[in-house]
Amino acid sequence: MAYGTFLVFVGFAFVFVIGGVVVNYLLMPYKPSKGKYTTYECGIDPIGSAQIRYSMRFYVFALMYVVFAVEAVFLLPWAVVYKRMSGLMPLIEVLIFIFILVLGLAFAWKKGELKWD
Amino acid sequence: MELIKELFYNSGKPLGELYTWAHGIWAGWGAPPFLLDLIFQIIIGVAVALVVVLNALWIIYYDRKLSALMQIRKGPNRVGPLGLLQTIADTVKLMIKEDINPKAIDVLSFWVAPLIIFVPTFAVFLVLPFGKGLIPADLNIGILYVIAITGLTVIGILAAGWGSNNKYSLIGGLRSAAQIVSYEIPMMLVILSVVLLSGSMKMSDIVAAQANYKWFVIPQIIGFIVFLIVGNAEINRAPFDLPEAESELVAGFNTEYSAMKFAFFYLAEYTNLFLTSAIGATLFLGGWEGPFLPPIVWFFIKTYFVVTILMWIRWTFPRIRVDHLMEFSWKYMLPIALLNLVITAIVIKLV
Repeated sequence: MAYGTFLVFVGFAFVFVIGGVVVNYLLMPYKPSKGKYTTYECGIDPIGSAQIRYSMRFYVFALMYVVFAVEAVFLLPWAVVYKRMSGLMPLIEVLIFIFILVLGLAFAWKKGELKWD
Repeated sequence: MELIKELFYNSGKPLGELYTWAHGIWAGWGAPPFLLDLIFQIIIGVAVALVVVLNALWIIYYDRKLSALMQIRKGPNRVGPLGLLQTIADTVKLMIKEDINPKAIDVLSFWVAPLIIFVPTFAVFLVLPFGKGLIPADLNIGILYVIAITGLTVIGILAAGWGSNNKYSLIGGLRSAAQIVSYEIPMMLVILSVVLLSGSMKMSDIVAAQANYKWFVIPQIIGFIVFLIVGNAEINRAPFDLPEAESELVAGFNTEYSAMKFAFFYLAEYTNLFLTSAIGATLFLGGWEGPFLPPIVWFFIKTYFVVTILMWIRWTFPRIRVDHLMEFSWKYMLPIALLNLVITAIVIKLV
């Protein structure tokens, strides 16, 4: 039932967007002219394509994101059961886990990977 | 009448009761039960679509009026009383505008981007608890679902930036993607601290854990502040609006978009503002809980309280520099959020 509702929601959003664009196409005027369909670049003709190689930094940050996102996924089940678990073991284990993570962050920081230049 | 009263002041689970009652009658007719389920789901979908549209109409007007107030000017005041119909006029205008697709675009990613951005935004409403029992689907992974689904928006932004084949769009899209993924980490850690306190990811359980006004904003005050800053960055609003910094990037990833496709970017942006505030209100401010007024009214009051804070931040601080932006997330927000998580864990065990 719950995930059925999810599918209905996604379907609804699709219909919403596509319907909006279809209505737009039914109502809109169509007056083509040469300048209208050029890419905007401050009013002058665009120089070259924009689909070019870009800064490496974006890739490094995406990689950092993957590392920390996986770590957060590991922490989630722990966070859910944490209150119900007795003893200090769950706390100590997670402290070790987070300590290793912080070491990784410190390493990246030291290497200057967190700097945007 | 009784039903409406139940829906708003609900003591039990009105939607659930209505559901069981309708199923009883449906079974009496001998019709297959899954059809009724589908009808129910479509009704919920229509209701949520109405909430999205009406809320966006209002929130855009509210944003413009509040920013006018903060800058000592009048804001929209021509269309309708107090300018209330301004947003509707804007929507109609966008609807009858010519949709311009430049020649240089990458057709598939250009067309699919508004869809990828809007669909997750809409899907997040699935787990928003508007009131007790008033939740489209109370998934047991609740808040994890929110994180997962909102993460999809990045793909749409990248598709828009790349597909436009415009330098401003490309830089705007890449910056936006880098910013959203960087600020996603502190966001997750803050949400983890809340999950630690509530012991469940289910939205209704998180609200129930804050019953009797033990709102998480008090034990998690640092978490709440981090949430506000990070949430503001996630939805690309000033002072973190570098992806669409007007003075350098025209309009960022949606520079080349026009008419209805642009309208969906705009709608998604303001719906995201509402969603971030609603999730903040649910996680930290006790959700729909409050005295005298119906739960759904409290939910909207708290949500708009957070919206107002975010708008206040927007008009108070100047835009920060792009290198500061990334370092701010990784060097300040992430360690603070991690520390907050560890302290929360220690306090839960030792107290």
